[in-house]
Amino acid sequence: MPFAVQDLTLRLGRTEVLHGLSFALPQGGITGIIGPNGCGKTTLLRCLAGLLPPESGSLHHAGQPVASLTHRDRARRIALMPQSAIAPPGLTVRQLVARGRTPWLRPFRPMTRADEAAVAGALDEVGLTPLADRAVESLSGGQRQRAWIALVLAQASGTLLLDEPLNFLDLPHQAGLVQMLRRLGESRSVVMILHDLTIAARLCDHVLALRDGRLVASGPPSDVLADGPLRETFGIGFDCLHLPGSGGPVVLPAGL
Amino acid sequence: MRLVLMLLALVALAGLALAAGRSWLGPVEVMQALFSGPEGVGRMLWSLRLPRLITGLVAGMCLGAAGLVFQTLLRNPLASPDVIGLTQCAAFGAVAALMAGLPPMAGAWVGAVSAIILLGWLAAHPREGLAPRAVVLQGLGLALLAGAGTEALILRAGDGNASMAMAWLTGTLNGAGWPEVGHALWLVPLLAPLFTARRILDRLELGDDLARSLGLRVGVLRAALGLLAALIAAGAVSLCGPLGFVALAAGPVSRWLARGRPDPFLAALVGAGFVTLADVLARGLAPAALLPTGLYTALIGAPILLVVLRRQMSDKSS
Repeated sequence: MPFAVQDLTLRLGRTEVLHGLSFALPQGGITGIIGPNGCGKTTLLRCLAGLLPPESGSLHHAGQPVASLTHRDRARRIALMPQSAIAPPGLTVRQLVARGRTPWLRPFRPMTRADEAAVAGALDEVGLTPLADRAVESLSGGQRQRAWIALVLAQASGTLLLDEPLNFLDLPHQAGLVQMLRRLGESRSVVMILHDLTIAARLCDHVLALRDGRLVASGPPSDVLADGPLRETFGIGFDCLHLPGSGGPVVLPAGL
Repeated sequence: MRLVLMLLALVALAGLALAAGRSWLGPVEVMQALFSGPEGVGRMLWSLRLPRLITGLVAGMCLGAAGLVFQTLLRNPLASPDVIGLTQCAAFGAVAALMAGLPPMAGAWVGAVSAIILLGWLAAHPREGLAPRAVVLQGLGLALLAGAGTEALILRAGDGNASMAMAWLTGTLNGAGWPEVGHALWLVPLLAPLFTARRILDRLELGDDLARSLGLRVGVLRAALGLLAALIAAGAVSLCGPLGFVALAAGPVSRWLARGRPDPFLAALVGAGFVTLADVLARGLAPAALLPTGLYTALIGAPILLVVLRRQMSDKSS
């Protein structure tokens, strides 16, 4: 189990943002977090990454309390791709991806051959090897998203947390990235925030639905992405259309 | 390669600084004076120009490194210690200490450390941690407040101390002797750790969340680097006054030399070269007038800053 969460409550400043969440995520595969804007998805992801300490309750990663890990140890087990990340001007893709090796570097020592190999492997996995020496800001939106994903891949942790990896991408780029994310889920545990429920239905092995900092549903997509739980999560009705011969349902707001 | 060129340029500037002044020395004379020791032909060089050069080099290194560190920590190319009020608070503390008969460096340290504690407290956001933009804006206000406080102190003090404090406030190396070199050496152990912070600054630039998930203790590191940078900037102010534009310009210039990456050592070299060049001009152009060095750092620094910032803007938009 990558994450086991028991009765987790979290405050930001004086506001309680997450209220008594309990869930366990399956080992390997892709977990999607869904819910309306401001429901605490990003806060939950930052908490899973060990960046926000829970007010009460417990958070375990692979059987160990996340709070008991050293910073470096935590970084070697759990990688986070936040939306707030900034690519400094002039940085090349390879330099950006190499930042992912930080928890493996020895202080004041340059990267080893193993580090270089991990960076090359990550670039290869996202298909950016031909663009490795280009500046990050010169890339298209889809390529840039791949560069950030390569950074967390170079971190070589078994668990990846991705905050809206499909945001701001046109449909062909989304489709390409979904294929890539599916491959990542075959060898790692991936937790990501998603807005597109049809993609969630087809990509995820497990779905968490949040509303106002409370867990509405946690389970396989066939259970969570149905009209009942979705109505409870988003406050509106949904049509879940099952097309013959395809993976999951097409999920659309009712009456759209 | 760029580092080697920068070092060579600095050595050349230092040589020029030893040669320049009311009486110019040739290269051979400089060498002779250096090797003859403080007695005999080398007396002027050893008693005046050498301590002045060393004080300027250390002050410039401190201002340059502190500028880059604050600009990187706050992710703002303008957020150097002279913009966010640290320099002004340090100057206030130093003038207050000077008038109370206490060591100015201690006063400058108290002023600068109070300033970063105050700014950290004012800009702390309950949800997001430190808000860099708030630090910069509130620092601008703090700078004006501390500047007014310093003027009030000087006006109250009357003629005796006031003229001394006034000359010092423009930033000057006049009067830098061996005792000042002694004070300057205090700053070296505070400066040296910043030279090893390149990798940390590089990671902090990626944003707090990513830096933390890469295993960095962002809060502790930011506080430690900010404190060290505040102490060396304040120390430099107590040595030769708030030399304008050194801290502000050294950061962008050093980044331009380092292809965009933050390198505190390179920034320190740029700062040192900058102060030395300004002092050479101050003594070489009008040796009789002995205009304050701070005048020339502003005269050179402001145009350099404009050119570099314009370059960065156009890079970004292309």
